[in-house]
Amino acid sequence: MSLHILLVEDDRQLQRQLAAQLSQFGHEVQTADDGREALVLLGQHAFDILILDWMLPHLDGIALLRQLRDNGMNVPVLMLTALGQIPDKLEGFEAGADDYVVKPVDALELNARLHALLRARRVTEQPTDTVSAGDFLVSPSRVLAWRGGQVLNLSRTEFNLLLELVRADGAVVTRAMLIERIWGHDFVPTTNIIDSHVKHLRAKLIQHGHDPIGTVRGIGYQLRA
Amino acid sequence: MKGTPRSLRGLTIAFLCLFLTVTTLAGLGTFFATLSMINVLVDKRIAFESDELAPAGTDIPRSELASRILHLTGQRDTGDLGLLLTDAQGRTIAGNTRFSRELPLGFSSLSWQDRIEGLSSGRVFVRDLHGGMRLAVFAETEPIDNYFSIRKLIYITGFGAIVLVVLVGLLMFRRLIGQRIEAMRTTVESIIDGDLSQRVPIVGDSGEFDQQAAAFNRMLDRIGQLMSEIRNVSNNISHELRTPLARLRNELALLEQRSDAEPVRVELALATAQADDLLGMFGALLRIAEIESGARRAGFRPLDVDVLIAEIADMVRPLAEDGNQHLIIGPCEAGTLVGDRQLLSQLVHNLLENALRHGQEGTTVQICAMRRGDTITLVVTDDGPGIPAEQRSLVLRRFGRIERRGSGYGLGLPLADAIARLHRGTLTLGDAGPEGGLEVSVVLLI
Repeated sequence: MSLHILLVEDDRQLQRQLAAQLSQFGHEVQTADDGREALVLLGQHAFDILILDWMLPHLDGIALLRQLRDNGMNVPVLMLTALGQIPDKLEGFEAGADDYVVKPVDALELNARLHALLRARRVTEQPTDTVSAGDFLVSPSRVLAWRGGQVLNLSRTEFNLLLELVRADGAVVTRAMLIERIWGHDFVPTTNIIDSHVKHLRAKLIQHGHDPIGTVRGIGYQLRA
Repeated sequence: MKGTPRSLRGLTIAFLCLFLTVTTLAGLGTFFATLSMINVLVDKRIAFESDELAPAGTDIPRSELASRILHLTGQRDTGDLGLLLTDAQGRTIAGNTRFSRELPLGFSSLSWQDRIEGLSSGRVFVRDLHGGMRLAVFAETEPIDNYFSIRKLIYITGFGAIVLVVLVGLLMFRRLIGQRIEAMRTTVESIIDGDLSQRVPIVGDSGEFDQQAAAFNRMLDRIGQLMSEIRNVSNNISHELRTPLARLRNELALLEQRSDAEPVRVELALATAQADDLLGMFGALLRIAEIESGARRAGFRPLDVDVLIAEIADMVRPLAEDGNQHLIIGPCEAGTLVGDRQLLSQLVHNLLENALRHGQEGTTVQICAMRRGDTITLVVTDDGPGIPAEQRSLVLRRFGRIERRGSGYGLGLPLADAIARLHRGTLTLGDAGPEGGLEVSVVLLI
């Protein structure tokens, strides 16, 4: 999926590198050095997503974001922050940010989050409660999951893991995203805890068909059709 | 200056002792000085009257002496005197009194024990006259009855009032100084606990204490500024190193995805994992710095420790299952405390992960939590190899690993320790039992 991205970052080196990496993933990237330039570009083009640095000259990221939301601009926003500090994050979410990546930015993590963010936007527009991907059907409210019409017997954690993978619908879900969404933690364990949980989930899923979970080495997991 | 009191309490006691001694001595001194002064004056008077009655060196006839005595006892200014003239056999010749004992020659004191009517204390002068006669003249030393005991009462009340006023003043003074010192001590304690935002309260009277508090606060401002500069520098270093490292890691990961990377895929994966380790290490260092800045205290909320333990145990359970280890939860009866959910989760997670990682196959790891008064104690025990007592302080230091094998950066326990300290708690390492094993106890204030 190719996205039209506006990247607002005052660190020229990081801006160049991120733009190059995102282009490698097939996205079309436009850049701005500060908030004012970003506002001008936002007025001229329709972007799929806005990547916004927190600290910017002239008009900082949060102020820009508030201005956008006040003007009714609904473009999804992913913020880049220096430190993963809780008070900062809360302030950002209140201002209308959709997600975060803490610097230094891992391009693969960023790409995975961009896709997840756009999908989440689309999913919330669906009126139904269930999510589906391939032969999987998951109902978050009833905490039930089916594969090919058969009910799966999963633990709570396994269920949540599957839900995230199904929501991503084939896109990569990183370990950090899983830790954040399943347990709500802002730290990444040093051991392979996520891998262990995935292993247990995989063992249960292959009882009902082929192995549906693909491992993207060094990044995370994705659902294979 | 050995023996000089240094504490406020010591100084107060020393001052009080000195003050009481000096006051008592002064009181007793003036009391007895006035007494002896009265005695001297009375002695002079009775010696004078005795000499007037029978001047030394004259032989006044017996009858003449008797009539003089009679005359004297009738006079207004000498009517209070006691007079007795006796002959060589001790029989009374003339006088207005009697004695129940034989009095010595010269000056001596009389008291109520001499049973002289109307006399409770006095002085007497006895001398021999010609022809074996003996003349005794006495006078009271008390202008009024019970003068001595009344004077005692006056002294005790007077000096007692002074002592009382000084004592109350001293205690108030001590309390005032004590309160100001206590305020400063509380501030210092908070700062030791990592809360550099605390300041000594200023009353606003611009007195010495306020001036001292203001100087102290300025010093804290300066220290805070320096600390944040140092923190910024170390944070910047970690950031600056992390950014190129993250780029390198990305390049490696992207390279690994390429189809023509097949011949070196294993090596690339290994290099990516090593870059991940380094990034994790910098991440942990930044996390410790963030914790030690104390900024996260602002986000403290009440949370249920037992629920938190259950969640984390659920998260790490697959690790135990993969390693054929037993993970026992409970008893957990800790209830709630006010803290940072993320950090306490990380604390519990680190301790469990640490215990599982260092234990062999088949080992048991147990976590329990209990409440004692206003503290919660979290204990994680394992029956693994444990840590020798002399190496325990080492593993709490950053990068203080005692073994090189296995994963981990030597930051897990220091991070847990920093989290405990942020919650005004402590983390201690001990033996789980006589057969070895490690016990990690974390005591947190609710």
